This record gives sequence, structure tokens and C-alpha cells, in this order.
Amino acid sequence: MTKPSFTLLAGIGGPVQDGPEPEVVRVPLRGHSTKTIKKKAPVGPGTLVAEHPDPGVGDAHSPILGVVTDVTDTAVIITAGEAKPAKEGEPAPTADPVAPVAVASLGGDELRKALKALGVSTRPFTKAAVLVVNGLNPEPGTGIAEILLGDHQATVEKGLELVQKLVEPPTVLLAVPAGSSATLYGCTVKQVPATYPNSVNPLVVKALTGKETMDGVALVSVMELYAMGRVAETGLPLTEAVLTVGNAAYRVKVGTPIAAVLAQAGVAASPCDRVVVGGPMRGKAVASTDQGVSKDDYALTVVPEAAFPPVTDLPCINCGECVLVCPSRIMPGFVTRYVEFKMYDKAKEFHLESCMECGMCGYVCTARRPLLQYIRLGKKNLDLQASALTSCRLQGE
Amino acid sequence: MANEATAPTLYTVAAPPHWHCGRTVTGVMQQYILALLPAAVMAFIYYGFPALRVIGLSCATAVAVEALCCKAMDRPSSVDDFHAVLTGLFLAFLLPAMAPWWLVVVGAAVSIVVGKMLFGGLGGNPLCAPLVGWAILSLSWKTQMDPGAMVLATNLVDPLTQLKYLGVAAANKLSLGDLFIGKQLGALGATQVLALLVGAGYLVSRGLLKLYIPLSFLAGVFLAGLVYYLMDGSVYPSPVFHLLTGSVVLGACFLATDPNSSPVNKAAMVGFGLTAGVMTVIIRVYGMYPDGVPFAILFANLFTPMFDLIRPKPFGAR
Repeated sequence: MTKPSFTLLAGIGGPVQDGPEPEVVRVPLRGHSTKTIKKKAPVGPGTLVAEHPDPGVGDAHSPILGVVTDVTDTAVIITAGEAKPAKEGEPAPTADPVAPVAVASLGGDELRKALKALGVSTRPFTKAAVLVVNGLNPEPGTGIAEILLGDHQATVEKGLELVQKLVEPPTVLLAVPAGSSATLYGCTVKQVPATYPNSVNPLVVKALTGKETMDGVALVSVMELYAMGRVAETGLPLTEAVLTVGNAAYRVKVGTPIAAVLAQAGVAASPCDRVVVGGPMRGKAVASTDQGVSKDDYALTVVPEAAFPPVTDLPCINCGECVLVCPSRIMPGFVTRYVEFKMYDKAKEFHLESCMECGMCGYVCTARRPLLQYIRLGKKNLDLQASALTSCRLQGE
Repeated sequence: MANEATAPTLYTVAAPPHWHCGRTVTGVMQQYILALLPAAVMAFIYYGFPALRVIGLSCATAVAVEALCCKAMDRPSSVDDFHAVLTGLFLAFLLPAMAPWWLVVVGAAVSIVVGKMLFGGLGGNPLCAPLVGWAILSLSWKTQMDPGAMVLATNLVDPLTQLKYLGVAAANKLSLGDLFIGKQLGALGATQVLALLVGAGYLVSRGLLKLYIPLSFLAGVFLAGLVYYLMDGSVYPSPVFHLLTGSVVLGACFLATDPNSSPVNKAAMVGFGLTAGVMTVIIRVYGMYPDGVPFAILFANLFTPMFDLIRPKPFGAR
């Protein structure tokens, strides 16, 4: 087995290719309302299928012409095909039904509202003194930022204009991998060593501002800028994602089954492999390749089962490898042992919350313990404890 | 979808990271055993089959005792991770080549039971397991543990007993080059300085041995030795003599670095190594045991929880 490379220069060539034309899409819902649209409703590209109660989170839209076949808690399932009108006399949706919105002329709250209605989340973009653009590929093997900065610079700059209107930052900083000549209009470019985990957000902010805090910093990735740029260019709702799969990048309709994207890219997934949405260090392994691609996905990765030793429940042997690689300078071995034995307060004492979830500790773990999983479990339980405390206090008042 | 009629394909679902460096507990133990082979070969060259007898008996006993312990503790056997073999090998390296069979058996069994399994197995031991066995043996059977008393059919001399009982002049007669290639009487593996350094170098090149503890240990021995040497060179030997004798190299590269009983942060590792190194020389100068290394490491092991309190500020902490 060869040791994987941690370089963030994937060397994947652009430009972005068009993805598959799916027969069925599963538009993912993340806390969206399931009441917006009913079963059997005809939809066209850009039809609103699920509103989100949060004004800062984008709504979900149908990417294709077809009929809603099911609405679950996690997805709106749409089957492609000729859409008949729901009632006699109503116009049937067509392949190009919604009117474009000229977002470029808007500003302030109007812009936020318009962007939400177009499926773009604006929650992270509050007023800040510094806007940091993370122009590094998020993970090894995912070349998307490189391609977007190289081949789609104009679109990315249009997105940047929108974000600047929302954040109103005096300074805009762009992080690019060392050796890259990429720039964006109005940005001060800074080169960052092109090895993982330097692309993790807190480390990018540290490299650019010199501070280990996100206070007063708004952060946006090139992928988000590109998505907003596409919305600005077309004026149509966001119903696509750009993904790197294998050795190419694809513009994929939201909700396209992962299996279809993998098939087009010629990447095979055998039983017991890991099919990962995202990169190999932070991505999510999915149970089914029927699952639909979501707006903020940036890569699909297949990790063969035999490539790496299996995860174990061996005890920590205290070898200290995790401590030496941890960019948060915590002791993942200690923290996870405390979490393992439900000593969450002790885990907090060892600065569990400082973890930036880069996955390096789990990568080097000699005992192959699921370190990041324990850390997330600990964070989750501490959050639960904290919220239980707050509700107790409220009752006491 | 087409798949719906047939059974769905099952994929592995796990938390990230999905990549791994490939290093496993079993793999590391095997590499350590490989790294100790040159010293074992040198021990055979100097002491012949008695050395192999001690090594084999020690490893076999350690494995058998660990298997029995796992059975008694009603848990899956952990002998297949090779740590028991490694523990047995380390213990054998600390014994004289002519050690009686019962001494080896008792030492290996005690190393596994008291040093490791009583604390829950690998990952729980607060002290370096083979050193626990060694300590109990040398406190209980001083004569049988003394290479000078046990290994009679040899021309080699024990530099540390020379120093202790005949003074620095006798010690200074020994050639440092001879000491370096292992031409000295002592524990069968611990004295193979060159061979152990070759093994340690191999582990460093494979990224399996970090140099923080070994270098600071050697620096501690050297500096403490230098202080005494400068105080009175007619009573105390040169610091290089300290480095090349007894089990300093085995201790620095292999025993002090035992993962469980040593700290993990860089500054803590350096402090740990220096402590053990300085203690070695202090025990040699003032103690009743000629070689202070095992006790110095056990002493430093006890302070590991305290060394673990030395840790950097986490990211973003004020």
C-alpha cells in the first residue's frame, strides 16, 4: 500500500464538465420545510420545492422538469419526465419556467432575501473587518478550488462582488496554494504551503491574518463564490454543485444520485468500499449511492476497503503520534480516552472544543482508533449538557 | 432505480478520516523486533547458545503468560499483536546470558502480569513492563542477576563493576572502541551498543522512533557525567564512558521510549529524557547498583503524568 500524498495541488485539469442527466433526483433537505410542495406536483427547473425557516439559509429548488414522487424528511424526490398541470386550466411547467432575478443590482437586506429565494445561504456573511477567501483545495485529491480559480475566474469574481456587498469588508484576503499565480479582483493574495491540513478554515485565517481567532473575520470558499457567481450570471435558482470526481470536475444537478456521477466519471465502487461525499480526510461516507448530491458538496471520493487497515476498538497505546500532528495543539489521545469513558468534563479540560476536525489524528493513529468520531461525540454531548443546563435555568427563573 | 429489485450494495460507513497511514500496533511491534535482531545476533556471537536460550525462553514465557492472562480475564487473546514477544525480548536483553531458567521464566511472567496485564493490558501499563520484571528480579536475586557472577567462561570484563569496585583507573584501561562494539560484560543484549544503534537508526528511518526522548536521555547522561568528570576527573570517568556502558543505549532508544509510560508532548518528552539520563548517572555515582539505567527509567516513568501536564496552549486559546 502506498502512502497517500497530502499535497493540496491535485493537478486535476479544468474546465468543469457537465454532469449526468438524472432520471430521478433526490433534492436533499437540511431542516427545510416539507410542506412547501406535495406529492405528484409538477415541477420545472427552478421551481421552489422546500422553503427553509431560517432567513439566512437558502431554499431548495427542483433542478429538472418532472413530477414530485415523494417528500421525505431528508429529500424531495423528483422523477424526470413530462409534467402535467396539477389542475385543469393551470399552465404546465416547462423546461424554462422561472423568470431570472437580477441580483447584481440589489443590496443589503433585499439582496439577502433575493439570494435566499435563489437557494443561496447568506448566514455566514455578516459585516466583518476582514473577508478571507479560502482559495485552497479543501482536501488532498480534490482539485475544485484550483479549477474554479483557474478556468472560471470571472464567475468567481461575480460571486465575490455579492459577498462584498453583504460583508462590506475594508480588506479582502485570498489564500492560494504556494506556487499558484491565481488572483481575484480586489484581493490581497497570500500564498499558503500547499499541504493538508493548511486548507482547514481556522488555519487559513491564521496564515492570512496572523490571528488564531475568527472574530471579525468573514470566510468564504471559492466554491461558494462560484455558486453565487452562477446565480448572479443566470439570475436563476441555484440547482447545481461542482464536484471533483476521479480526475475531472463536473457540474452536477443537485439531487443527482451519487451512483450516476460516479458512473459518468468512471469511478467504480465495490461492496464494502467507502463512498465518501467530500474528501478523504473530512468527507462523509454514505450508506447508499442513491443519495443525492447537495449544493455544498465539492467532491466524491471512493476509498477501497483494502487500501487501509480497518478501524479497531483497541485501547490507546499513548504513542503520541496524534499529539505531534494536531494543528489545534491538543492531545487527541487523551481527549478521546476521556470521551470513550464518558468523562466529558475532563475532555473539556483538555480543550476538546479547540479541535478543528481536520482528521489528522485519526490518520496517524497506530491503534487505528476512530479519534475524530470520539471528538465529535464529545462535542455533541457537551452541547447537550450545556443546553440541558440552560433549559434548567430558564425553568428556575 | 435498477438496483431496487436486487439487494442493495453495502458500503462501509465510518467516520472520517477515510485514509490511514497504514501503521498498526502489530506492525510497529514487528518492526521493533526486527530492529532488535542485530543486537540479538551480537549477543549470540559473544555469548553463544546460552544467550539464545535466555531470549527464547523469555519470549516464549511472555507469550504463554499473556495468553493465560487473557483467558483468565475472559477477553480475546492479545498475543497476536507481538507486544508480549517484544516484552520478552527486552527482558532477555537485560539478563545475563547464563541466567538460570527459573529466573528467566519468573522475570518474563512478572513482566507480563505485574508490568502489563494487571493494568488492563497494552495501553494501561504505567511503567515500562520489562523493567518491572527486571526490577523485581534484581531486588530478589542479586547474585543470579549479576553478569560478573553468572558468566564465568569469558574474557570480557564488566566496565561498571570495574568502575564501582576498582575505581576510575581500572575503568579507564578499557578501550572505548571495544565498549562501542559490545566487547564488555553485562546484560546480554543491553551492552551491544553498536547493534542497538543500528536498530534504532532503522526505526528512525521508518518514522517509528521519535528522537526527542533518546537524544535528551543521552544528553542527560552526557551532561551529568560531564559535571562529575569536571568536578574530579580522578574519581569519576568521562561522560563518554557512561554513554557506552551498561544499558544506556538500550534504555535511551527502546525502554525510555516505551509509548505508554512516556509523555507525549515535545517539551515533556525532552524533560522526561533528561530526567532519566541525569538519574542514571546519579544512581551510578551514589547508588548501590552499578548500572542505574533501569531504575532511572522507572523513576522517570513515575513522573510521566506530571510531565504530561506540560502542554502547549491550544489553538485560539488566550
